[in-house]
Amino acid sequence: MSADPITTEVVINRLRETAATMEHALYHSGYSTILRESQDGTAGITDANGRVIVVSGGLQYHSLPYTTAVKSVLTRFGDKIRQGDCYVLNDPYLAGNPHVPDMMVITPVFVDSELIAFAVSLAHKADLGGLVPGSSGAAAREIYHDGLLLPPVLYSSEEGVNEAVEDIIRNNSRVPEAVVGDLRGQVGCTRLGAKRLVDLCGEYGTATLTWVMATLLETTAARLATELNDWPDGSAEVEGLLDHDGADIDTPVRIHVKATKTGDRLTLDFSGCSPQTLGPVNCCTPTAQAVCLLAAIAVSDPTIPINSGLVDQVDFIIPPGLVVSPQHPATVNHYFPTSHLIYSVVLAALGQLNPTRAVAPSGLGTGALAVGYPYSRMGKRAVQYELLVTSLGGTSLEDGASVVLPINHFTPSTPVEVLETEYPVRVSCFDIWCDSAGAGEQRGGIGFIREYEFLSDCAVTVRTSNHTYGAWGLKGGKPPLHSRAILDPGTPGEEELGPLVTCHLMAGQVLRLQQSGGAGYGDPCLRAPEKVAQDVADGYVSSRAAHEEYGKTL
Amino acid sequence: MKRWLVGIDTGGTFTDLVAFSPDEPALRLAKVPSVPEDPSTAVMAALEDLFSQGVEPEAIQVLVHGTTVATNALLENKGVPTGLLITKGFRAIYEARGWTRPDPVSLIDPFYSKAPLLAPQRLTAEVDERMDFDGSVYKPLDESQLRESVRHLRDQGVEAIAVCYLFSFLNPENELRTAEIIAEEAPGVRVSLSSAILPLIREYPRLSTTVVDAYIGPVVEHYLLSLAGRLKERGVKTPQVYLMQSNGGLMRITVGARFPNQTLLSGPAGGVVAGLRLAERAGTGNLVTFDVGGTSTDICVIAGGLAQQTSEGVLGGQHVGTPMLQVRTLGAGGGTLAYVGKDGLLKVGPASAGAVPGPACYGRGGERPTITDANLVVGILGAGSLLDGRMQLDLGAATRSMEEIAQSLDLTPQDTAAGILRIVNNHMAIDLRLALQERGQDPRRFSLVPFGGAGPMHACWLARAVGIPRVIVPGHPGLNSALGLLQTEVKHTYVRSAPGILDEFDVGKMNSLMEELGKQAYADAREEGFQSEEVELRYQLDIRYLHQGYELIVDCPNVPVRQEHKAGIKQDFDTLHATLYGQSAPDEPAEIVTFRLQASIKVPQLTEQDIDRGGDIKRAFKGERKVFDIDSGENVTVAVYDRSLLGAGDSIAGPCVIEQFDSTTWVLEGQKLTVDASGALVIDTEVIK
Repeated sequence: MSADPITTEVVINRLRETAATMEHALYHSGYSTILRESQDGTAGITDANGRVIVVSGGLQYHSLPYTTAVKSVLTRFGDKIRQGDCYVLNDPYLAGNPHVPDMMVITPVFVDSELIAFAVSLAHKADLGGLVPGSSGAAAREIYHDGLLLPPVLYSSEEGVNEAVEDIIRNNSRVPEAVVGDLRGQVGCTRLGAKRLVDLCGEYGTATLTWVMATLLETTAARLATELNDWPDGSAEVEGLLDHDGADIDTPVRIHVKATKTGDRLTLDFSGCSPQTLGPVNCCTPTAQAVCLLAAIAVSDPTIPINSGLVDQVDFIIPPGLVVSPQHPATVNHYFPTSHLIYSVVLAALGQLNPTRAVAPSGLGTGALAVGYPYSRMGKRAVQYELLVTSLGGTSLEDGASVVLPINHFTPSTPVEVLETEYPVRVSCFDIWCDSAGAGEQRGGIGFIREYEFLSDCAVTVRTSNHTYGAWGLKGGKPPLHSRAILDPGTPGEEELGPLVTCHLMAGQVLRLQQSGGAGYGDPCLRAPEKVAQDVADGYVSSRAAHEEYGKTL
Repeated sequence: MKRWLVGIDTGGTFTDLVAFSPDEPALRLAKVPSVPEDPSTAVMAALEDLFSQGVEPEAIQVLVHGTTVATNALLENKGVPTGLLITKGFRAIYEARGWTRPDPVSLIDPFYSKAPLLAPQRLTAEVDERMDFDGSVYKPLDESQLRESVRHLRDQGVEAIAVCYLFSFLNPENELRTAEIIAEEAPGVRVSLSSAILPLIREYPRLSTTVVDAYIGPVVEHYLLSLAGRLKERGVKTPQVYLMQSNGGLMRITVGARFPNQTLLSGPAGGVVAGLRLAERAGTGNLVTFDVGGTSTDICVIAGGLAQQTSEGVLGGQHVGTPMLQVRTLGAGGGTLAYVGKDGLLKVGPASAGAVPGPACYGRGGERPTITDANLVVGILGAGSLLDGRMQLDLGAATRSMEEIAQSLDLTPQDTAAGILRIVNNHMAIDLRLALQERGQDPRRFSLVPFGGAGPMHACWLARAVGIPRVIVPGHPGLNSALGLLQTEVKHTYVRSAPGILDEFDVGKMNSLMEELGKQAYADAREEGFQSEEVELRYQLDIRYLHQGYELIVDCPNVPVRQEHKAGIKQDFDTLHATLYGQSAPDEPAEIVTFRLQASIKVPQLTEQDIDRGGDIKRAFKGERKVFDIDSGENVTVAVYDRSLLGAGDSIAGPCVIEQFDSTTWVLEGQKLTVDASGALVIDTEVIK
């Protein structure tokens, strides 16, 4: 079986359309602010073996772990899988999801009683129990602390919703309506995807469709191979540190990669990483591998379609029991800064191998803030959940972009006006942070300050990572400032919080978060004087830094 | 003296004019080259053309203009130096730009950069003031500090100042006072208040919209003043000079400078309006307009006789929340290029050959294959069919442009051209489906209305692929946008966010909010020279379920509202939610986020006349030509007809080609074309209904 190049292109576009349709359904029928405003979810198609074919949505490192989840469903249910079934699972050790709140929904696609594919979606839930509101607590020491762990279970079938499962989920969440509302949105999304795929088979033939799906994987592998072939053979080692794991606050956690490029293949060796940790900074292997593969195309050609074909060009050496290969029952709820650091060290190592695409790293320490209130403005128990971003590093061409998520993540910020309308909080500032960016011929993007005055008692969890160890400059560029979290700034009770803490606050207390800017690229003294002057006028750089870092007197 | 209604639409390449008189059956038309440096020169040239056809300047009763001045100022960064005043401590709102990266490739790209800040940080001043979430004053405005900041901005040479404070949509007091202070300290500087321009919750889009208004406002003002002056000078004395707005309605040119954002989608809006009118005439409420230009295609879904509005526009990376028609734009038009991608497969777009050099067949130096070249090579387009043969197309050049791709894919040039069309048609079909899906609509209940010169060459294939049973080709596909200018009314949308749970919302407060919107509408109408009685009002509410992030617009038919009306509003919302998203939650409470008012005022419009009955289609028969069928890969012989010689009731079976001055229509085998009384070509596309 094969199809002509025109039909192949047409069917590929139809598969993308299917994913886009699923994405639209996912974002527009969810209930919680996190799914609707943060778009913290993805949807896509795998083949019958779980190889990811096409994914849509703003969170691209979600996609490759789909494989693990589908394989778990196949192992558990095998021949019992029926048309119209929707399986739900969120145990990271079974589903490959980054952490417990990311719930997977999987629907098989049958054509003429033959299983040809799966429609999958993954979306972050506002709360699934666990130690703290939002589920992901700094004090977690095993996965059981992270919240409700569902193995693959049948959530709904052609007979309707399995109410027992839904009752269990409801009973384990602090915000059951939002969670079940989002979950039903996910079911609608995967069912729609399955239906579209069946229609496509009717239009082009099942054999054509499965051939095109296989071709998509081969093409992605071939395009990455071509890019790798253009680089000189060689290897590079880079390491970075997380402040600590939240349990042993005196010991940093090391992420180390040795990247070796030979011919058209790449080997990434993580043997030098720290062992798995007691605290929650572990990152399960499927997510770690996903960010590595995305770094590979970022440093070669970002237009290469993302699918499981990427896996075929890259060999991983990851001994079990490391922070990038935790074993059950290690907790993983704070994987986010870890995955960001993995991405950054791989990006840096591959940048050494392919210098034309090398960039300075983004500020590290992306994470999240979760605040549990006994009462929202609407009178119900509520969880405010916000992702904390940073800025990109400078490049050979331009300054880094300010205030974005660096790793393959589309997430609009929650507007101040929406936060204050929904929760008892006053945002007292959302400001740019002068001198937070690493200096350079092309400087990093600017970091920011966000300050919250809580108007009721609440439980606050801060999850970041780079208060002590941060990003590094490239080609003479300077590192950015480290992030900080400060309780009650400017008062006698002012307290510097660690990067990973949960604390119970009283009404009137203030939390100030300062998020790092991006790192600099190139010697700052080479920066054009008029750009430095403009940066000073813009408040991005102080006169002092203009003098000391850039050697310019204004 | 005959009275004339004149529509003038500025396009990228041409400025089109359509003139209509109730006393004369035929339209007067003019087409002149656009003058991007000074679009009013082309507007005047088009008018001179009309005057040379015997129409007197004094005879113009209504003149409607579709302009791209605002759009170009924004896209080409040609606005004025702009200052920004914000609540103290919130400089990162604009810098972060919602902190998103917009598309999948840029998500991965470490070289990603954001669109420039139109008001840079060095021209941004923080103002000590703060409203609370309920609109109460938390920190009063520090006026002396504000005066100092304004003087500083003035000294920096800003020509406009945008003001956007937190929660000003609930309480505009501080912004209003700021405007007074700016008038005192920096007279002559144009002021844009977020509470006036877009009083909606969510500070970033409101701020961005306000800055865009400030940035382009003086440019638009300057253009409109100069145009008004030239019109007057040339004897066009009617007070009824209007601009087409992004919402598909008109506004008096005299108020245009107050609402510059409203003209950002002025161009595409004309076509959509023509579509709405066509829907009315054809007795259907459901159609999709499909406007194929040189570089892009604009799609707009009209359902139940209404075109959807959006508040989430993005132009050149700048967010504009001003209500505008929801038009989906796809990077595929006549000049769009084909090439072989890195995966070895054939790709089409979004890169374009533009107006210069244009398609290879235009003979202006283009060598790479475009969609127009592909249509010519397969024979859908005839070498002599453009502008009644006044512009000859070079088939040899088009065929040669295919050769490089043909060799690399081991295809003939003809197969390559057919491949280009299959791929671009597929792109178009996907966007049509997505546009319908976004509104929860079933294509089987729709008609497809193609225009722009190239639209009717693709429409019949698309309709069949998407499952749309009927194509309606309007009388003048190439002049549709200019025609649309004469087919609408004055329209203004007023919005005001005031979040609260529907059930619990005090009806007294609801009514006073709506009354305020109404007062504003009447005041604007008077300023535009209309009487209050002429204004028609339609109240709406933007509603969501609790916890949801986005709202749907629902009509609020009874004003003043009473408590017992709320159940009906909630029910309408549940139904709309189910239509759009496949599910609803009737037991969940709903929340009002925004109050909305659509105000409209009727103005004289073009009334299209029926065409004569036909009878003998042989009269219109021009000959036969071979067309290469892109699906079967076979050459078929098809009849070619001259549209100007077809009459009402004439019917032709496909495959056939219908040629006219400004367009070519391609009807597939198995489809049947009928000319309706208005002269539109109505094609039954033979899909399963």
